[in-house]
Amino acid sequence: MYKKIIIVIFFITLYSHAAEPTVWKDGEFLLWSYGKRYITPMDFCFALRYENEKIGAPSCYEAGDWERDTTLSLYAKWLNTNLDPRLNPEDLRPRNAHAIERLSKLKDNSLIFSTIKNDKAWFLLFDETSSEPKQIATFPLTEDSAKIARKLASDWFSGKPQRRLSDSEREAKEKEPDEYFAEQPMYDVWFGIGLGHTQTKVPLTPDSWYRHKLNSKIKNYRDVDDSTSIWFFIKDTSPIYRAYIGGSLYDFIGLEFELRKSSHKAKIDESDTIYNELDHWSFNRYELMFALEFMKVFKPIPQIEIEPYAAASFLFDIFTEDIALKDGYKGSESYKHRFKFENYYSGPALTLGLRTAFFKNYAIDFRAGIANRGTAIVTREIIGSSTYDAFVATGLEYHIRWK
Amino acid sequence: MMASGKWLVASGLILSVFLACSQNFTNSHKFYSSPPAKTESVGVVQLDDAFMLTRTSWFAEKLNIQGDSIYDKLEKLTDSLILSELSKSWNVSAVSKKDREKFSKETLKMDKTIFIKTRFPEQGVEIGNSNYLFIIHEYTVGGDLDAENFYDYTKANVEMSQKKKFNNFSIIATFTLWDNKKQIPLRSGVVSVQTPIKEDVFNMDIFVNTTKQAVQECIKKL
Repeated sequence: MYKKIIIVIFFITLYSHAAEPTVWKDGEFLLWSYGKRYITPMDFCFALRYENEKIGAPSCYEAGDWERDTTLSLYAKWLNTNLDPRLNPEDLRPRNAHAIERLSKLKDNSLIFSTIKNDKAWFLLFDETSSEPKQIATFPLTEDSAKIARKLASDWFSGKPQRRLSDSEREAKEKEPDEYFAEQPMYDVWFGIGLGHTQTKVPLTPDSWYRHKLNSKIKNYRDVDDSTSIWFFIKDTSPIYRAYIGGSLYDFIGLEFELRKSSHKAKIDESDTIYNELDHWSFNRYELMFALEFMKVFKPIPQIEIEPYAAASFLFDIFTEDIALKDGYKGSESYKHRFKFENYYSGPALTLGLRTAFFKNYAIDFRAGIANRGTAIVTREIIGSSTYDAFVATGLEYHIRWK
Repeated sequence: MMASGKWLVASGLILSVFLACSQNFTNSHKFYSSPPAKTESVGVVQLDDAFMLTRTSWFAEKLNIQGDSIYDKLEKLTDSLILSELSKSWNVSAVSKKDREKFSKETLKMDKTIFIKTRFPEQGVEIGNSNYLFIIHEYTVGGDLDAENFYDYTKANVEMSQKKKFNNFSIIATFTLWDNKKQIPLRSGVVSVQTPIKEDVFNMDIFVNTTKQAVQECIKKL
C-alpha cells in the first residue's frame, strides 16, 4: 500500500518536473493583457530578480504588438469568454493559424497573458514549445500586483536558469538528432590484468567423466593408459595469470585479445624408481585468445554500468617444458625418450562474463568459460588431440570511452 | 427475389446497428449537457460546398431534372428541408453562405480512427445573434454509401465498385452544434441514413423523406 503511494508521488513529482517551464538567464518576458493591466513590467522584473538570484537581468515588456493584432485580440477575447477551472490547457488552444504561428515564433521569450474573469485575475503562461498554455494561475482581485508578480515568479521561474542561445545555436539545436536516434557510436577500449583458475572438471558434472584422466600417472616418462587429453600427462588444475586488451563499438560488439599463463606439474608415478634421478618436471602453458564479444550495457545509476557479455574465442596454445635432474645424476634412456607435446594446439572457447564499470573508466570483470584445444587430426598417436578445460577468471580493467 | 431483398434489408439493418454500436460517431465538449431548449435561437448554416452529390446522372434521370442544374436544385431543396425540419425543434434562422466562407477548415477527432473535416467560425467572433449555430460540415448524397469509408481513416482506401443499381439511397452528414457566444463546438456527430430502393424505383418523395430523416438523426444524436 505504502509502496503504491510512494510510486504515485514519485510519478506526480516527475510529471510536475516535466511541465516546469524553462527559465532563461537574462530572459525576456512579454505581458499580454486583455482588459485591465494587472501587473506592471517593472513589478514583474523586480519579482523575478527577487525570487531567483541566478536569473540575471531579465527584461519585461508590455506586449503591445500582441494587444494590437486583430486576430490575436480575438483569441484574447475568446480566452476571456472561455476561461474556466474545469478546462484543461489543451482546451484553451488557439485555432487560428496566425495565432498558432505567432506563439511558435516566440523563441525563448515567455508570454504571460492576463485577464479578469469571474472576479478572478487569470494568468496564462505561453512559450514556443506548444500552442496551449504551459501554466495557468488565478488570483483573487483583492491581491495586489506586487504580490501576484512575486507568486508567479516563484511558481514559474524559480528553476535553474539556462543560458539563452543565439539564433545560430538555436538553429543548430533544432537540427540536432534526438538522443535516442543519434547514430553516434560509443567507443570503448580497455586494458586489463587478472587472475583465474583452470581445471578440467566442469562444475556440476559427474566425476566419472574425469576419473580416468585425473587418476592417470606417467610411468617411465612416457607410459599412460590413454593420450587423447593432455590431462593424462600433466595436472589439470592451475592458477591463471592473464593480461588482455579489447575494444567495443556501440556498447554492443567487441574484440578482445588475451594472453594467459598457467603451469602444470607432470603427473609422475612416484613408485616408479626411474624418477629417482628427477628433480622437478612441469609444463608452462602459454595461451593466446582472440575473442569476439557481444554485450549489453545497463546503467542502474549514472556512475555504474553493468555489462553482461558473451564471447566466442579462438585460442592458440604452446607448452614449454621445465625439467631438471638432480645434481650428479645423468639422464636415463627413458628420460631421453620422454613424451613430447605438439608444437602448438588450437581450439575454440566459449565465455560468459559480467563487467561492472565504475565512474566510466574503472571496471571489475568476472568471466567463466569452457575451452577445447586439440590438433586437427584426432588420433591416438598425437598427444592431447582433444583436451577440455573449464576456467573462471577475474580482472581489473581501465576503460577509455568516447563518442 | 423478394426473399433475397428482405434478407438484404435485414442484413443492412443488422450492419448499421453493428456499426452504430461498434464505433463512437459523436464527440462532445466538456461543457455540453443537453440539446438547446425549444425556445433557443439557432442559426442554421447553409450547406454551400458541404453539399456533395454523387452519381449525378443517375439522380438526374430518376428525378427528371436537367443534368447541369441538378446540383444547384437539390442543394437548395436540401437547405430548405433542413431549415424547416430544424424549425420544429428550435427558433431557427438561416446563416448565409458568405458567413460560411469565412469559417476555418479544421479536423475534429471523434474516435481513435475517426476524424471529420469541420468548418468552424473564428474564436472570438459571433455569427449573427443566435445563441447556437447548427453547422453541417459535409453532406453526401448517393447510393450504398458507408460512413466508415468516409471518416474512418483505416478504411479510407477501401475501393468501392461503381454499381449500376443501388440497394439503398444514402445520406451521410457530419454536423456540429456550435456555441455561438463562447465559440466552442458543443457536440459533433456523423449520421448515416439508408433508404432501401426497390426495383430501381426512385422519386422526389424518397429524397425528401430521407433528407428529413437525416435531420432527425442529427437531432437524435445531440
